[in-house]
Amino acid sequence: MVNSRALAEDLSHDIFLKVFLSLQKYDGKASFSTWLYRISSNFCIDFIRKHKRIDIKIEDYSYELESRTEEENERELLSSKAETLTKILDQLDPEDKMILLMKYQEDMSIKDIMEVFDLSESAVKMRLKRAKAKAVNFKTEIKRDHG
Amino acid sequence: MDNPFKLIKPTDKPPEHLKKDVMDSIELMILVVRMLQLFMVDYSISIPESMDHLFRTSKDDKHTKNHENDGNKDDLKK
Repeated sequence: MVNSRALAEDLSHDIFLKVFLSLQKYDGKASFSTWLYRISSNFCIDFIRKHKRIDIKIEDYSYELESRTEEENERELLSSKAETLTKILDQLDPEDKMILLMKYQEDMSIKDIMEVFDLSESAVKMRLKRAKAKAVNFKTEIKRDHG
Repeated sequence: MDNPFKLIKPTDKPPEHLKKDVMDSIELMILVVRMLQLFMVDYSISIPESMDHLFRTSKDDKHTKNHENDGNKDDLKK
């Protein structure tokens, strides 16, 4: 998530301390791993937001969203090379990157993602759809830049 | 077709010293919390008690005394 081993170690240390301090808030509604995931992801997203200046190109993605279906975007994204995918993920904003990693790397269910982000099912599906569309847009840009 | 997300998944394990660092920090934190508890007043216990004393009237005292006397009479009857 943070692309640096040393930073990941520092963040893990801080996350475990936060988990220890928040243990009394764990109500047992979600599984412990999901709760742990929620704390970790929120911590990382906050950290990245605070410390990393992300140059997100403000573009209107509505055209791209309309022109490709979700299945096409998914197919396009999953057909990427590992190297290209790393570049795409680096350009995405942390929440979009996190939701894609949860779905396609950790194979988490929509229900688990709902609990981690504390969102409704439709909101999670919408975020996934948008994250995929943005990722495919970045892929197109990378392809264009590299000829 | 391989899922490229799986290909970029980090496989390295966290270093051994990380666990020790985390446990050391947690132990330190527990120690600080215990020290704070030792020197701090537990207001959840002390405030209701002091309020009870503050708003106590002579009527309440009589009521308590009557109850105590009734209790003594019952004991004598037995």
